Amino acid sequence: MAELNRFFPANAFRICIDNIELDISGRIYSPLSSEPIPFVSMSEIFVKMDELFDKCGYPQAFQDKRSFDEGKEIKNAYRGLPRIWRETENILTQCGRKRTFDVIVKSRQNTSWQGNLYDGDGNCAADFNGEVELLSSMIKLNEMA
Amino acid sequence: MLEVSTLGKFSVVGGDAVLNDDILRSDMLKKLLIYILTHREHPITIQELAEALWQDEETDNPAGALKNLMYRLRNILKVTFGNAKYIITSPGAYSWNTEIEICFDAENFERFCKQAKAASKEEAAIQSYERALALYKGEFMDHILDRHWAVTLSTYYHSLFLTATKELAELYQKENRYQDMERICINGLHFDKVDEQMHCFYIMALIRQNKFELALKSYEEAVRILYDALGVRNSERLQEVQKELLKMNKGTEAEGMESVSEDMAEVEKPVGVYLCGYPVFREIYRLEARKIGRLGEAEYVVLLTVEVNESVKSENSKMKKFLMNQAMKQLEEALKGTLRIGDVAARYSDTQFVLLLPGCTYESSVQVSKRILAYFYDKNKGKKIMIKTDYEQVTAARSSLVR
Repeated sequence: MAELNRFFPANAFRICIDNIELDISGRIYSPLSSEPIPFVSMSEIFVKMDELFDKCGYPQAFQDKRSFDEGKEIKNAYRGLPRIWRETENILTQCGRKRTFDVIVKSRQNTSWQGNLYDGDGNCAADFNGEVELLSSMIKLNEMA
Repeated sequence: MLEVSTLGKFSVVGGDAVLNDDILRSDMLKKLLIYILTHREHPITIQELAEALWQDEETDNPAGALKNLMYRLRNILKVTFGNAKYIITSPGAYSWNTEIEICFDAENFERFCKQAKAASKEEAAIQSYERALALYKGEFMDHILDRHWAVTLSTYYHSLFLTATKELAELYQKENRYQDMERICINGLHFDKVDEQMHCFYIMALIRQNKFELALKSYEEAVRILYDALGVRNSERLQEVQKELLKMNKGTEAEGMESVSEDMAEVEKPVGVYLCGYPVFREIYRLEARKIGRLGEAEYVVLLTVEVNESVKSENSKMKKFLMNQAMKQLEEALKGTLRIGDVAARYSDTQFVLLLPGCTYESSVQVSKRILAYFYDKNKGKKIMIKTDYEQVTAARSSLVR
């Protein structure tokens, strides 16, 4: 999608995959964080990005996070558009040694993600509704490459 | 010649003399007179007249009662219009004296409608329809609709009237005569509020005259009336009209940004919830669903349904309807008293409100609902009414609540 080549929205992030062995590892770049976010597994991508979204309140989750531990419950009040810590040009220069994907999370409904997956060239590869769909689309794209 | 009016107020006029309900003072005499006049092309047997006047054996001696009625009718006609043989007696039958000319409004109405239908040119059709509609001042003999022959004729003329009005509206539309179109539709809706096509013609006439506020209000009213009376929602015709409504522009050129802002601003200072008609609510919902991906905001739709308790269900339907109406008014007050600026609410049906809560998670939406219910039950301490709540996330995909 040409839009991603010009503007990286706050609800998008770039997955730079540097290693693919039993699982994948690499770095994530997001406008919501000044530092790259390292990951060592697929599930860590979801956990860390979800934490970042909760911290910024963007995109706002449709449900509050519940926990058996009272102190860990998260109330997701809407806080408006977040501050941008990393600009588009900076994100677009980052690439994974093995593969690069871009993800836009349009909403976080049903304690899950909904949005679009893009290949490294900015072409929209798939829509997804849920992390499982996102994961399977990424695997498919990787196999085709 | 006697001019007989039966569409609307009853009267028979002959020169300066007038015979109407005040002078006749008898529904039975009126029924008898009208029956004879509407069947004046042939003699009417006593049995036929008796059946027409007295259904279900309301009298033991119909022949005798008829004779008496006929005597009274003849007398009144003589006193009002002069000495003449108005009704002729023949063996076992009565008939109107055809030498006394009758100008019957209902028959003329029908004749003009047929003329209009058969006209080859639109101008001629318009003229005939206009003459027909000028004659229809009300339902045929609306005070004697306890007789099947009167009901049949009344229904026939009513149907003819609606058809004529709509045909004429369409002709006016072709000629861009929207003021006339509006006028006849108002008249038509006065006699039949639940004709969907008539509502559509009326709203289109307003749209074409750039009467936006009135068109929108009329559209919302039409949606409500058709749902309340017929249970019809989302009809294709009304949806087409709504599309036209949404395409409307202001019609006049703005002098500058200031005049645009002034026109768009609310008249009163906004306080609390934005209460609107359901069609407007639906457009707001669609806009919000589009914005979610960009703003990253959670948003919920809540459906509040008013129900009566089991204990009340066995009571009569009038009481139930009264309780529902009261509850809906109180629920509206609760919404005004508890929701914030930015929240949107609309009446979805006779027993339901639908709310749009931007920036709310599921948990927050539940809290908001609890606040509304607490306010409502505080003012409604009886245990006769319950309110049910349903929640749905605002999404660009098809909604089960907002359609």
